[in-house]
Amino acid sequence: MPGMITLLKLCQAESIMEDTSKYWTLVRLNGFGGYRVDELAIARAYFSQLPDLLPEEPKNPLLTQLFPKYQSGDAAAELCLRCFISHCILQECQSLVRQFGNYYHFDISDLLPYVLDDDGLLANNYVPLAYQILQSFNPATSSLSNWTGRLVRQNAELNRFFMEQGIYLISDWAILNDTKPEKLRRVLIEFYQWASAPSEQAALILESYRLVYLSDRIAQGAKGKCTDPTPDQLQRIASALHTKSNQTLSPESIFNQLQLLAKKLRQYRLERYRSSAQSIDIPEISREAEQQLNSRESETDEAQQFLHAYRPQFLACLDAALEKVVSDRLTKFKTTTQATQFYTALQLFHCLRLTMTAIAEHLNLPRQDSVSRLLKVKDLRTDVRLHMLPCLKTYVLEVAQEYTPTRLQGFDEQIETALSEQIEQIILVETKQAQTARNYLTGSLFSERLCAYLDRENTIRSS
Amino acid sequence: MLQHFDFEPILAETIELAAEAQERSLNLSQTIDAQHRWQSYLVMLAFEGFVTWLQQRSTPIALNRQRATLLQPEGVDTPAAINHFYMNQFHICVIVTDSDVEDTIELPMGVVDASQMAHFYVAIAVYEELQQITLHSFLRCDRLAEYRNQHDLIATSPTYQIPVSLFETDFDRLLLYLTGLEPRMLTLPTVTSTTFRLKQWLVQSAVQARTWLDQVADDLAWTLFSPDLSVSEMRSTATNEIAAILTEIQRNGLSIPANAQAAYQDLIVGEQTLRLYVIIWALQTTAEPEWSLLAIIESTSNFTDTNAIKITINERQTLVIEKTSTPGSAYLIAQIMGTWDEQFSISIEVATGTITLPPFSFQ
Repeated sequence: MPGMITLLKLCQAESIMEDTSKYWTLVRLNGFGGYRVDELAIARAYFSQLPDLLPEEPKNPLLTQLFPKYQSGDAAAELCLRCFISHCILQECQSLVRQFGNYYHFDISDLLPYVLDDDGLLANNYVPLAYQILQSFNPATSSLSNWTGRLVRQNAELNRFFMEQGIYLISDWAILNDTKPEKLRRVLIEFYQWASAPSEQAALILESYRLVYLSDRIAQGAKGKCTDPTPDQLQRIASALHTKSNQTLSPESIFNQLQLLAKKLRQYRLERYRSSAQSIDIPEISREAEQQLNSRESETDEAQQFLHAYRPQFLACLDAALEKVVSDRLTKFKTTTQATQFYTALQLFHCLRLTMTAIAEHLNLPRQDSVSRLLKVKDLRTDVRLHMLPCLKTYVLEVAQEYTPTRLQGFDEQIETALSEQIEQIILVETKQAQTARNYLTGSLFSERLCAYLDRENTIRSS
Repeated sequence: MLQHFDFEPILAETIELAAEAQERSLNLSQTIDAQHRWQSYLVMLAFEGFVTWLQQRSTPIALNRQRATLLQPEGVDTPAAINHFYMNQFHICVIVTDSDVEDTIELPMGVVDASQMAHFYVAIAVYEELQQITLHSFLRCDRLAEYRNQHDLIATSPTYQIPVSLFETDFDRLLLYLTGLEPRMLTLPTVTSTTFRLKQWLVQSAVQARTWLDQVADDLAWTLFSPDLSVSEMRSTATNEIAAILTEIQRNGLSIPANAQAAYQDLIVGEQTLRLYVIIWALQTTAEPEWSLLAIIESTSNFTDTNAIKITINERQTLVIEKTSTPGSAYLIAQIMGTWDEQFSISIEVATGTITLPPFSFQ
């Protein structure tokens, strides 16, 4: 029936049209943390004058047309490819978010700024990621979307972000560099139940690889991500293996074997992570965790009674420690902007009791954990306690005893309990005049004394 | 030929190494023999990373890395270690551990030997590809001693496998111990004699004569002195005997210009303490500019018997001088000359061990 066939052709045409819009629409950052998809007139015009597609043509016919044209210097073809790549970049980021975003607390707006950097202009001083992708792409070894995905995953800035969240994209070669042949042998036999002979052989291959690759890495200055062994290196590895075991393997076999071993090790490592009892901690504590610190039960104990009895000395040591640690911290920042941010964050956190999220907004920082990384609440608190110890020893003889590790821990915990003391009443009575009106919130002794120190510093600075 | 990339969790906060720290690690490891280079490089990164972390904190703990030495591993895949790093009088030993999850941690036997025992063993996981480290765990010596009393240590050739359960993971706790404990609360076994002949490398920056002054200001490893015998200060900074030695040397024809760079450093080699004096100066008289290095070793141990000391000076990989002290003499003197692009490395050997210093260059 003619009507049906026409409908079918129309549908086919439409579906082809949908797919092909990737070649003339560019995915870009929209300035609000998300992305937008814009039609590029040049690309669309160029695309529409390309010879018609036939359904029987091989997959990605457009790539087999566009890529050669790009290689011969056609700027418009390049633009079309860059559009396509931008869609691939988006897809890859979406995939990463699906895979890890929930557990590691990040979303697409965290990832896109690192990799979606093409603004679609033809002439550029800035080299977007898409350029690097195109220049390194080899159609014989991969599809453009796979290659894009790979380079996105390898992007240094993105990896740095992932490291901060607690995940690391480890290359095959880094795994092999990290694993001693004896360990490989053990893993193959015990974990994978390989027979002894192939395990020994595998260990020898790894040994030969390490002999060549590691010394080259040091000689070349050990910079950056580990790259594939070169043909020359593979040849030398083959020679080393032949010397050790009288076995001859071609460089290509060696490469494949090494990749297989890396894969085995990778799986073993992941399995070990999964089965170990350790949970992945987010290094810095949030407001909730800080409140947990504060809600410790007070224990009746010699040390606790002592701390109450010597309150003036305790407070003096606390104040001295706060001054030392905060001023020390300030000197370690590389720029005055960062130092000022830290100082402000301290005030917002300890005096105004804002949440990390609120502080992030106030300071124009992208995420809550940027604030926790800046403040390092737990480290600061520990450093203060550390400074208090020798101070307390000089002031109070009872403390200047020789502690066993266990008693020392106990004493440290008592100091921490005292610092966590909730001091509603004291806030009302002892607080100095603050510049900003402050609600009388419950705070820990630690926060109050820190806030008082910051107030004093402000008074000094503005006088 | 596509690589597989996959993500692995990192179980602790990472510390990034500065470019200078990586360069120092590379430079030192490149002076070490090829088969030990990689493990030495890793432990250097571990050490630098640990120090970086310490410097990011604000603690009342004094750090002293002047005596830090790298203990050369036995074999290609044996881990190296860096010990004689002091934090508030506590002796710290840094080792590298695997970044994945394992049941035991490897300690080279040399650092568990009685003469080298540390108060704390710090295990660091190194992500070499990324120039980052994580603080894995640490072991208190009394817990190790207690374990050894009850079990035989599992020895896999030149290392021991120590159960991970003996190690603690909260590094704030380590800082607490270092701040609040007295070293004598963590008893180390009494040293009778060394079981091992240890090969050690001093973890310091290489010396460039031209910038020695600046280095001393930063490093504190070397103490400068003036070799000008007319300066009375010289007699107070060094012993009178060194003055006498220098006088004798010059009387024998060697002239040391007034602008020579000179410094000394106290070293522990094996079981002996020594003082090494190094004097460097340029030679103007030859057609191609040269420089001279004069090394004087003074034995400062309480050893009254004749313990032979041997000094070896290499120009890069080539042996140039090897001299052994004469019996009864408390001094060993060696002098070498080279062109300005040549680099010399000094090794000092006694019966119980060897130590190699980072190279000396003129420019």
